[in-house]
Amino acid sequence: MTAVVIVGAGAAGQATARALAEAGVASTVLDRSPERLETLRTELAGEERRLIACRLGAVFHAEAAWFWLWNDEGVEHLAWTQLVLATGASDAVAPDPGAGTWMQVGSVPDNRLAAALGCVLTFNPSSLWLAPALEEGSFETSVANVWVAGSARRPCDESLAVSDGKACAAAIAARLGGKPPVRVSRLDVARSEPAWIWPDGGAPPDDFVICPCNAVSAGEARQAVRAGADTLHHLGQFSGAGVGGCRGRQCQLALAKMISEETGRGLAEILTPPAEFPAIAVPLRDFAAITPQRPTALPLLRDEGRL
Amino acid sequence: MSNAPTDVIVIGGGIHGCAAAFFLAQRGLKVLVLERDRVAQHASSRSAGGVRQLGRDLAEVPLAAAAMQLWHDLEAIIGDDGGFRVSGQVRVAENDADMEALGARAAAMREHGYDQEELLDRAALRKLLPALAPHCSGGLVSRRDGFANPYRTTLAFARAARALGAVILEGAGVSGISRGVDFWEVQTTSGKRFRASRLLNAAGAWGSRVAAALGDAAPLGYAPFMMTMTSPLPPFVGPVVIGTGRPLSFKQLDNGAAMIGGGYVGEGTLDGAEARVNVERLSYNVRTAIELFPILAEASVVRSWCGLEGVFPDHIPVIGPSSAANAYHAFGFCGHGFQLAPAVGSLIAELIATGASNLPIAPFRIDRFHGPNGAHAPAAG
Repeated sequence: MTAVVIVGAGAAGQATARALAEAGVASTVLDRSPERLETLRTELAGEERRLIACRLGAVFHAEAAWFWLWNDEGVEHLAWTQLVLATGASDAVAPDPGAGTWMQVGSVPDNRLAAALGCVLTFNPSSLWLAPALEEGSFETSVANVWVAGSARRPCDESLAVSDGKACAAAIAARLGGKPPVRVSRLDVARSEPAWIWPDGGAPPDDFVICPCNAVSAGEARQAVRAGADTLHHLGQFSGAGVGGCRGRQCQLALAKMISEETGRGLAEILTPPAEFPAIAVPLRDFAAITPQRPTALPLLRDEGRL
Repeated sequence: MSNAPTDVIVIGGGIHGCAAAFFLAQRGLKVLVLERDRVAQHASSRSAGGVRQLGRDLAEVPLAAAAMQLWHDLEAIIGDDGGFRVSGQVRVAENDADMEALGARAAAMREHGYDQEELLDRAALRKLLPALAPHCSGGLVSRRDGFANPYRTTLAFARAARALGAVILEGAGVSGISRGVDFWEVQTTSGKRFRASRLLNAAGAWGSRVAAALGDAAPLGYAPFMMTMTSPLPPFVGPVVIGTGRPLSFKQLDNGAAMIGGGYVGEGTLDGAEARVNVERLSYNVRTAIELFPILAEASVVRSWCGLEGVFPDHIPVIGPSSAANAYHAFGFCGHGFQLAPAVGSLIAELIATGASNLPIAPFRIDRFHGPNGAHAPAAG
């Protein structure tokens, strides 16, 4: 049995599902927004209605062959054989020192599931953000059978997202039908627009709360960088900045800019895959329900390696 | 190769390597730390940060006590307190068997003349931990214990060591160790060679690889211990809480987030130096925390991670001289080396500089695993 799973019911996810249905391939579309799913549902007709399943929920983790879904009913562990990441983008924000608040300065691809899956992410000097590295002539990531489409890949308008989705669907249908791979042409991500434009004078003063989730001030974060915590990962371990409930979606750009200003290193080096678990915060009550019985103790892993 | 002669090469830039480097430099020795990745890359930046004497193996109690003195003076010693907070630590009993185990522990500590752990009855426990679930029937408290920020502490030791002239090279993995007439030569993965008259193995989970290169066999295992941070909650618990019958370590930080650990392992390999969580085991870890503190059910799992740590079968580290002359070990801290680091760094420096230490380290010798017939022998108490 194949489980073609599409994460995200935005333009790219919808286009993938509908093009797959047209090719006779069934898929499941997941989204955490009931409105977006409902819009898709009402637009489906005929064969599409039979072949496209819509499910409400947030995919908070994915690994080889399985993913974890959370919704009001709790947590589920579900299988995938083809996985399309159409997870879209998050708002990129910058501190507005004058107003003491944040202002939107763009939107950046959300790569957290790709990172969890172990997909190679590389800095795109044109979009100024990380993007999954793609196999030559395809939308397949470095992990086999994991695909990426739409603004999860680079900033794009709706028509580009739709063409991504169609190309992804064609490649997946070919793979499932045992046909030769479909080559796609619109892969030149270097043509992308920048995902964000930093405002003039955007460096926040020390008392600005740069990580609202964990209440870390810009001053505290700067001190941590000066103490040696000069990567996003290390800054998080030192100060908690960027690793709160939003998983860095809000402050990551501002923190990366700060590290860049403090160290003189470029963003290409500073922006690193956000690999920690989970991709989206999950209620403890539901997470704790996964394993009701104490797991058996594992034997100690022995190191047989050498220098 | 540098022209200035190096006295000691330390392999590993975790908290033990950095603390030893600091205390060695303080004694006027010229120190070079070789760190494969970044300072505090693995266990030292990913641990729970417990500053705990409570529940220590009896062999570790004198070291833990010596370390605690240093923790209380840390800011004066290295210019940063590492975020250390004295909160107390409490082991809680969830049933009669747990309570019996805590009673036996308290008796064993008294018998050895230690007074830092104090039994609590149900009422005293409730007073200390009002948010604790009602089924908990008692506890054992160590009031001078607390917690700190492990990464910040390790960086502070590294900074203080550098200020005294120690050189800490990051991105310098060790690929070979060879011995000259009166020096050690260490080769790095980038092909550089460094020499020093003495060598310290502080390679953590990779420590048995370094030990093997020195001719010492050590049955080190490894564990990618998992930690979880929750979304912030209103203040509901002061002390660090430790499980008795089932693994748990639990604390609430200043920003309201709760940190859950206790020794459940994820997945990982030493060769790839990478680790990731195991969802099923992590779930039970979180479940244990909710069963002790029901208020947690209202929070979210915000972040979980793993740190690769070395673990010996008898759950205490190796500390002391190698069988090879002029080489020393401090590794395999089994998930509870953070609190010990100031004392171990200080005693290793003393050992290297003077040939002896005032602290009792015989139980941690590396040959303890091999009895007369090669059989595993228990560590001496």
